[in-house]
Amino acid sequence: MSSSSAEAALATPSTPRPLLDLFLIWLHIGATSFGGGSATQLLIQQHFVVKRNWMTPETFAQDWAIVQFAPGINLIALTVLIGHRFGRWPGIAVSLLGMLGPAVAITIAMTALYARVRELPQVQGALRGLTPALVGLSLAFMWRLLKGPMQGLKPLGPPALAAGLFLLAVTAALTALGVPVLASYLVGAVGLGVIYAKQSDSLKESDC
Amino acid sequence: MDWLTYFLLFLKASLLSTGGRGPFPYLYTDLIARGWAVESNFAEALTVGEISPGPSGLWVVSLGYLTAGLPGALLATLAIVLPPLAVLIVARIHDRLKSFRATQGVLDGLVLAIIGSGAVVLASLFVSNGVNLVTVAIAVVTAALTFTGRVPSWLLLLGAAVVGVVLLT
Repeated sequence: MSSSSAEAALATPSTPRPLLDLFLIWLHIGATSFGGGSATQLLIQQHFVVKRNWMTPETFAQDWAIVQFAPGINLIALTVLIGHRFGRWPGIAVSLLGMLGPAVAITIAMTALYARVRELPQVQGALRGLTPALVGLSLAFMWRLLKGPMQGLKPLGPPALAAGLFLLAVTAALTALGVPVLASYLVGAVGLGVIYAKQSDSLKESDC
Repeated sequence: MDWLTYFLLFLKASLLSTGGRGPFPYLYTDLIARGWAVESNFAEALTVGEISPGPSGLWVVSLGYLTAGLPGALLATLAIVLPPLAVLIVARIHDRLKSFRATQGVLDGLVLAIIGSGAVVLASLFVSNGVNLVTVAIAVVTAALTFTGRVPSWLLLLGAAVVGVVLLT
């Protein structure tokens, strides 16, 4: 059974749970999580591992590792994975509804409220102050994101690190020149994929 | 408005990226090029995303509302919910995926591109808002304080909004 370990991720013992319970847990998480990211991740862990004991810390860590490979927002992928674990497709549906229902409704309501006052001169002034703040916030956030690739590249040696920084510059230049963003993302993903694969090959060779 | 194209642009932005900010460069370039959004819509949506509950990636829902009303918000929601469903496939092949070093390279490369393209798009957003002593100071101070990690983002945004009302109205 070669598929047994590949299936393990989905088949890790997890008894089906009442859909209403599942929904209420996610509703609680969705309504009380602010700022997303690691704070929300911790909140989810609190509910499923600590409070309810539905998952072991190991299972939770495994699920979190898996969602890193999924497209889109990691926290939504985690909601899908845990929902599936305890209730298959109906479990996914109630989990997403609980996690995103109130959050999406509040997001829409806040935007609608904003849209009613956006023409006020004071609001326009506030927006002119908010825009550079968001730029600063996002730049600092990206600087933190950069740690991931840097940690991957450093062990591969200075040439790989230089190649990585070159790739970063290329992705920026492509977008600056008006080339579709998809091209940048492809260049980054394929480029670093090749660098990682090649460098690990040459590391193996030097071992011999 | 061509709703199918509108939806597919949002779906592409979410499917071919990762994280809450990954779709930003796609949506910024695609929607502005078609005249379906203006630069300031992104500052508005990102602000709402920062202060509303739930994953920070929900800023995309706010962008949907600002650009196409309630239908836009609902299509944007659908577009960010569908791609993560692929995690069910990922879970089945995770062991094999993990064994390739290239896999981590692809993910890290995607992050590099989000940073590279994202920085350019942010610069464009910054310039469109107006470059002067006050806006430069706000950007630098916010970046520095975020970097220290000691001031919550909502407080920084509140401060910037107040400075905006007082000095930029």
